[in-house]
Amino acid sequence: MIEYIFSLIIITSIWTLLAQSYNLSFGLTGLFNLGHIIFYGIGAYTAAILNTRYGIGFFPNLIFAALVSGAFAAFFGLLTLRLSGHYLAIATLGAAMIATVVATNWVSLTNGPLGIRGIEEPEFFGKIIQADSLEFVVLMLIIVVFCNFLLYKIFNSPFGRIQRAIKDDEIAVRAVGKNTFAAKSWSLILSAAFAGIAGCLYTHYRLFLDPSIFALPEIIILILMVVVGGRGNFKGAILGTILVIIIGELPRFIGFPDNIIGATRNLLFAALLIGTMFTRPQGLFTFFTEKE
Amino acid sequence: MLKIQELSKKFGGVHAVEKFSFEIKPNHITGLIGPNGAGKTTAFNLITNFLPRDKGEVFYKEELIKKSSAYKLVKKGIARTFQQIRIFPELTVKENLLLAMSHDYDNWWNSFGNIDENLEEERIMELLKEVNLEKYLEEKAGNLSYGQSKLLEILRVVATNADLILLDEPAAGVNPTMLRIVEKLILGLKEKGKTLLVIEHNMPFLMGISDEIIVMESGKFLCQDLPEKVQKDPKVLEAYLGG
Repeated sequence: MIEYIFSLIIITSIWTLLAQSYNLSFGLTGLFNLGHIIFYGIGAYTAAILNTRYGIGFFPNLIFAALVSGAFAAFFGLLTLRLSGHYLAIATLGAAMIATVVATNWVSLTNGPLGIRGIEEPEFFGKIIQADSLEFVVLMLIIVVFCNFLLYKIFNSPFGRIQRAIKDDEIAVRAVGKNTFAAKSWSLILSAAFAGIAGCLYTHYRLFLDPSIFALPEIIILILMVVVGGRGNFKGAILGTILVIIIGELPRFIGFPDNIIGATRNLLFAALLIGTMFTRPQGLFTFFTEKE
Repeated sequence: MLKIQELSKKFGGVHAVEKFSFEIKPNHITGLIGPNGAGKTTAFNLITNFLPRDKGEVFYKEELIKKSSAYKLVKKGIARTFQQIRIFPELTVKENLLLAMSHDYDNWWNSFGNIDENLEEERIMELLKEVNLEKYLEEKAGNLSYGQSKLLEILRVVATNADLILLDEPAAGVNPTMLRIVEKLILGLKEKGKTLLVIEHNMPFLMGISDEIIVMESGKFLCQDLPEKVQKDPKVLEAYLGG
């Protein structure tokens, strides 16, 4: 039981970071980017490849994952950020599908559908920190809280103000002399860098990685977490993530047969999303975070 | 101050603006009028690079303004408002103005930090007091009335410190009390040395504040003269009233 609780805390932490990173570009800036999972996957693959081929450990990998994901986002932004709204959504969704195809077929790099095994657990001053141990939970929490702190500073900085203004009216932001393309690019790059870190955490926790990390349902869950929390609402993304994970675990507790747990979970997620859109499209957790 | 030469723009087969030329003097308020569809707002969009021009040249302080991104013009000293109000409804009144005046943040690295904004806040309060909006400092801009939103949009342009201000229908839909505030604000800007180009359909208002009037018809320049002369010009009367 304790291992299950630890595992739940670790998964929630990783998703919290991923959702908060998405909340920066999708929630704060208003970029309807359906390809955010690509940055998570790139971070995960960067860590897995560097670890298994070059022996690079968990801590340097956090930085490499952020850098590689951020660099890819800069390139991705050049291609897509001239688009807006639905056009951006379709283009980025297409990119997410391409990422799955690349990860599946570039076998020499990713080992294809068989995935990458043999990823090492984090090592801290010579001590291996085993997944699902209390030390691992503490390590994850420290990293995720630190990253969320940095994101909080970004959300509440003048940079964050420009992003909120872009979500309101991009043309008006240009009319006050701000380079909106650069602002949106930075939002995407930072958002991708934190997603890359989340991907690195995932890799060094699961110790196995395959192309399913780019799967479409992951994007839907990510959108759900941010929308339920309230787009652009910092605390909301954390609470939204926790709520979605708890709801996702409910069928297991209620005692549903294993073969329908997945389908039931999807039904609950769909109901939550539709319910939120109908009752509180601004997010369920804006009651006590209205000031943000 | 601002010189426009043979500005042209076509949408499909329609000439929205055709060989439109004029010049405005510094520290003057110049009105730009014309019937609906004359191309006034399109001309504004072309001057400020919100629309790419097909032909023509724009000179500001003798410098040729190239076809580039609209945001760069604000740094050169040209700022504008829009026909449809464009404020940031989810930002507070203070944040709306901070966004316009925060040139330190053009260095992106600075923009991530906590910058002391006390000096800007003092200036914001001065601006808001001019139009009696000081009590709305921390209010979300989306909660302001239509007239207050108009004032905020004009204040935001003022906050950019631009020397040339283009106002697109600042009096449209504004009640008489608010109109007097708009008038006082515009005249106050002239007193501070600013140059203004104003599109407006409220003729008594515009004729009362303008030093000169430019008239457009069907995308073309019709005339440019003192307000009292323009009002009696037969070409202008014909353009407005038809044959």
